[in-house]
Amino acid sequence: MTDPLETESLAISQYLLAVRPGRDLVQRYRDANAELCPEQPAWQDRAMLDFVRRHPRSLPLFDAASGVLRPHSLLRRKILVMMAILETTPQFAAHFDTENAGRLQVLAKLGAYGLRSVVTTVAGLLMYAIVIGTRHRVLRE
Amino acid sequence: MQSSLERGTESSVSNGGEPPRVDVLVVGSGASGVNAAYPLVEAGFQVRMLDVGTRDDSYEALIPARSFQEIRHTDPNQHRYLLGDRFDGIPFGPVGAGAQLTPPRQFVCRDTNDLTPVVSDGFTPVESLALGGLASAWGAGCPPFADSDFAGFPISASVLQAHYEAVAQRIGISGARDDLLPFLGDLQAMQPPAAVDSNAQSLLRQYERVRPRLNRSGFHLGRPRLALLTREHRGRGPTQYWDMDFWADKDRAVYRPRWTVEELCTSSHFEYRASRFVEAFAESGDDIIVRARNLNGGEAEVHRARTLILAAGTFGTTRIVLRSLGLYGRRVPFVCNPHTYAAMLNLRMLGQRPEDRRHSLAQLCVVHAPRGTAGPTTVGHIYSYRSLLTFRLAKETRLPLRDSLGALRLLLPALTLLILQHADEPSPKKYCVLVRGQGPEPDRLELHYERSLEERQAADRVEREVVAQFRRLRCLCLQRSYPGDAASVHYAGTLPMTETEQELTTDPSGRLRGTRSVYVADGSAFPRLPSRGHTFTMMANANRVGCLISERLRG
Repeated sequence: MTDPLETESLAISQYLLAVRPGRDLVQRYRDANAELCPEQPAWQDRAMLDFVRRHPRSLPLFDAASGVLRPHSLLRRKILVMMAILETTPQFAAHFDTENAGRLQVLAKLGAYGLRSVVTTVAGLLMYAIVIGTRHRVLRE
Repeated sequence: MQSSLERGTESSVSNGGEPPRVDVLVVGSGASGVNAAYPLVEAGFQVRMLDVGTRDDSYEALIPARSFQEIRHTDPNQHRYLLGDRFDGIPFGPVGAGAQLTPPRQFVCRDTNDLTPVVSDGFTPVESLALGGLASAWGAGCPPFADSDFAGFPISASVLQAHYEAVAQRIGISGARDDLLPFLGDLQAMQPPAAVDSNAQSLLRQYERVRPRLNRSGFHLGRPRLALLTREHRGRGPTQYWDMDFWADKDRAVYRPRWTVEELCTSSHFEYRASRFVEAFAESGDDIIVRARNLNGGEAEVHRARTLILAAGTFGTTRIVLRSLGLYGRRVPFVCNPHTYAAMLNLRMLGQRPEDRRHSLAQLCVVHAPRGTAGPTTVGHIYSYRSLLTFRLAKETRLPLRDSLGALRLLLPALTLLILQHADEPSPKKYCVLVRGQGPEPDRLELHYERSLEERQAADRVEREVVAQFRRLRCLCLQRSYPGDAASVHYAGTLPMTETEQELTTDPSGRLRGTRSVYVADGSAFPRLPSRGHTFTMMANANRVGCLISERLRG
C-alpha cells in the first residue's frame, strides 16, 4: 500500500515544478508533516486531501480554490512545506532563481499567470463546492 | 578571542562559594551592557558581567562562509539551517514580531518563555537572554537621534555626540555624507557606505531626477547608517556581500555585541559569567548585593559590587527593579515604535537583471520631514527581498502557489520593502505590571498596549504621504501592513530619565532614583521613542553612563 504522504509529496512536486523528488526529500516531507501538520485535521481539509490523493490532477484546482476560500488550509500548508523543501535542495534551486526576461516578456508572462490563476480558481471553486458539499451531506446523514 | 570567552564561562561554573566583590556588576551582554562595561574596563575597574548567555549551538557550524546564491546551488545541508531541524523556518502564522528571526537566529529568544514569561492580550514582545541580547539578530540600523528627537529627555544631542563617536569607533559604522546628512548628523569614525543593490541603484537614479520636487515635499533619500563594516576594523570585516546577514555572521562585518564581549574578555579587568539569571538586588552599606540563579544546577548565588548597571533589556531590567523594590502590581509605562511594512514594486526594475553581490540589510534610508530638520521626522528603511526564501513570500499571496512562484520569480528584482517606523509616546493605555508567580512559578509581566485613534490616524496619514512620494520614484505600493504592536522590537520608557524626583525614574546620569549606586543603561531609561531605531543612541547613552560611573568611582 502506498504511503499517503509519499503520494502527496510526489503530486505536489509534480504540480509545482514538474519534478520527481528523491527518497530523501520524501522523508523530509514526512518529517516536516510530523512537526507542522495537525494529526486531526478539520473535516474540510480531510475531504480535500482524500480527494487529491485519489486524483492528483485535481491539486491545482483545490490549491486555487483554497487560496481564495481558506488560505491557511492544510492543503496550502502542505504545498508550502514541499515548496520550502524543494527550494532548499541544490538540485532544484534554479527553479526558484529570479527569471531573466525583458520587460515585455515579464508583462506577458505575468498576464499568462494571471489568466491561468483565474481559470483554475473558477474551476477550483466549482470542484470545491462539489467535493466539500458532498462530504458535508455524508457527514450530516 | 573565542577561547577567552569560553574560559570566562567555564571559570564561573567551577568557582565555588561567594565570588569576590567587584567594582561594577553589569547585568546583560546586549548592545547597552557591553557599551556600558567598555569604558569602565578601559579605566581599569574590575567589571563582572552576569548573563544567561544562550547561544546558537545547532546551526552556526553548519553554515559555510559562502554567498547565499552559492549555498543555494551547492550545499546539500542547507535545509538544516534554512528551514531548521524542526522546520521552524516554515512559519505559518501571520507576520509579526520576530518575523525576521531565521532558524540560526532563534536562539536569541530561547528560554524566555520559561524564565521571563509575559501575559498580554496582543502585545507579544521579543525578549532575549542570549549572549549579545536582541542585537544578535539586529538589522544594524544606526541612525542617531536628531536634536528634536530628544524632546522630553533631560539630555541633549550635544551631550551624546562624543559617545556616538566612541561607539562608532568601537563597533564600526558605515554611511554616506549625502542628502540625509542634515537629519543623521556626521560621524568622524564613519566608514564609506556599503555598495547598494540594483534595485536601490535604480531608486537612487530616479531620486536624482526628481529630487527638488521631492525635497520640497519633505522627502529625502540616501544611504542608511549601518553597523556594517566596509573596511577591516578591529580584526573584523569588511563585508563580503554574501547576502547571508539574516542567517550568519561569517565575515563578522555586522556588529554583534558578542564581538565586544570577546574583546573585553581579553582584559584581566573583565569577567564574563554565563548561565546567571539575575533576580534582584539590594543595597547594604556601601555594597550592592545581587541575587542570581546559576542555571547550571539552579543554586542561588550572591554577587557584591560597589555599583550595579542594569542592561537586561527594557522588560528584563524592569522585572529586576520591580522585584527588588517589591513593587508587584504597580503600573509602569512603556513605549514601542509602531512599525509598518509597505510592499512596493519598483517599476523601473521590471525585466532588469538584479545584481547578486549584495548585503541583506537596509539598502536605503528615507526621511520624511515636512517641516525640515527642526520638526519631527519619520524615518524608514528600504530593503530588497532576496535571501529570505521565496516560499515565505508565496505564503503571503492568495494566488495558486504554482502561479505565485512563477510571478514572484519575475517580480523579485523589483520588489521593494519599506519599513516605516513611527514615534511613540507614553500614555495611560501603555503599561506593564509585574505579577508575583505562585509557588515555583516565575513572576510574570502583564503588558497592556493600546494606541489611541489619533495616534493611528497620524501614522496612517504619514504612511500615505510617504507612499505617495514613492510613486514619483516609479514605485507602486502593493500592500501596506501592520505586523502588530510589538513588531519593531524597540521597547523603552519603563524607568524614564527625568529632571524631577519621582519614584521609578532615573536621573540624567542613569541612576535609579531611590538607590545610591544602581544605574540603568538600556532602553528602559528613554522617556519616549522618536521615529528612528534607538539602538545606536542606547549604546551611546550606555557608554555615557559607563563614563559617568567611572568618574564617580574615581572619586
